[in-house]
Amino acid sequence: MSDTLSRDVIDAFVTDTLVAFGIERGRITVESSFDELGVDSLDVVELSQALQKELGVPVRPKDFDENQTVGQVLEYVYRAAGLR
Amino acid sequence: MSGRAAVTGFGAVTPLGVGADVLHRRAVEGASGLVAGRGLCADFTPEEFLGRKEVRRADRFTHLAVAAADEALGRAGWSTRGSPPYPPERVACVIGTGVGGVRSHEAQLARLAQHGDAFVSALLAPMMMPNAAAAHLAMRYGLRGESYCVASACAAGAQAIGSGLRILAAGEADAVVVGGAEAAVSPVLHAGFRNAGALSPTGRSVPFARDRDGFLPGEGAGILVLERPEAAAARGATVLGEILGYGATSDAHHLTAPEPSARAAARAVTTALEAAGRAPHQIAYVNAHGTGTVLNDRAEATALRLALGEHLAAVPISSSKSYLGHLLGAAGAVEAIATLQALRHATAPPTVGLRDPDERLGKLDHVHTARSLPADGRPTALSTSFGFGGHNAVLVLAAGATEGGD
Repeated sequence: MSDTLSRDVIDAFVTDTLVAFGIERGRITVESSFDELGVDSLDVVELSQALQKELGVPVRPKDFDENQTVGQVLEYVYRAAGLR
Repeated sequence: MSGRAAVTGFGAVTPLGVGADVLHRRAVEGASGLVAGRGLCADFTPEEFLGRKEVRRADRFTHLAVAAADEALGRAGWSTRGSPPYPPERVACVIGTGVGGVRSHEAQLARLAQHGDAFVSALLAPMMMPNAAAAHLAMRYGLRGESYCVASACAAGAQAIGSGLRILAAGEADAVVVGGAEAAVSPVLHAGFRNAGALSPTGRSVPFARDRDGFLPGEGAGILVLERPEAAAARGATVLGEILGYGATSDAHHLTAPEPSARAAARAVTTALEAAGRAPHQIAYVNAHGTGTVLNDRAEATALRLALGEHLAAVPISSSKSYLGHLLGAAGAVEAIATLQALRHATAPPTVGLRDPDERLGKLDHVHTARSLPADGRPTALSTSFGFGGHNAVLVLAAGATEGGD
């Protein structure tokens, strides 16, 4: 896991990944749910793979679901990264 | 009986450019889209047609299909963002491909080898599946009739059109969106084709030439909107052309080599002509499969001679693969569009680069530079397709609409 991993790094990585998935950056807030953003189960798998591969955070696709908000997902990732 | 269909729209993305008009314009100029032994759609940018999300979730063969379909539906006067002009359940979609999303497959194989199975994309199956193009078009345009893929190698594009014709003839739909798409410019596939002796080792694609030595790989898509002639007339659609007949057979002979007597291929031509109600002397142009392999061109000339007899010698013939390369599962659809354009503009495109025709193919009227075709009397043309596996598919096409019951 990266030594420099912080909440800011995770926030930026998750946001940039969702933007790369085709979600408008301006629509991504902690209150917005994956479902509202149009992030489906296939995207969730890609996101969890990217978190593992690029940041080394041990998350699995089944840790997330489409009804969660971006904020809930981030909280989960912080915990998985040992940040709380 | 395959019935007939009004062509109300068509669109193409090819190595000659984005659009069916640039395809015809550059083809009759004698231009070639082949660069360094490949026919790539260098002018094509998926983001011009698809959002970032759609681009990421689809293989290039689907991107090409969407761009060609947007053009086809636009030409037909259909909305590309709303509903079709028929009940959605009455619009079918059949899109051919040779190998589907082979590049997406390759990328994930590399990921599997490098990072392990936990990192293989969940999008792999829906991106590589050969039916992805048909699925995306059905979703994009809200087409709720039957949709599927025809995967019969280099005959797939023509057989997708034939399948659509039969869906209309069976009364299962009022309109069909049909065609083919391929983006299989893939090192491993090319190596396989090369080792099978199909790819030109000298990097040239000159069908019918004495020293022809194979085809060059290309990518692209061709999509057509077909409507029941009565339905097209009832909605006041502009009819660009007509599919008059379709014939398909199988060699039942060899995995890759055409059957030398070419009887089955000839039978496909004869069946298509009979379905169209046309005689050999009424054919004004043949857009040949013409791959430029020694065996294909020999078998094709034999088949055409068996089916058209003495008339063959007087029919202008050319191969689009001389300037596009071989678009595999898209070839039959793109070439049907090239044929319709030739009829509409009364000009046949040449076999680019053909200077020394193989006289062992018998007497053929090769089109060396753009040739005028008759503009009156609803000229009719043939487009032939033959695929690895022995699939033979032939379309009879005409410009404009049938008048007075023809």
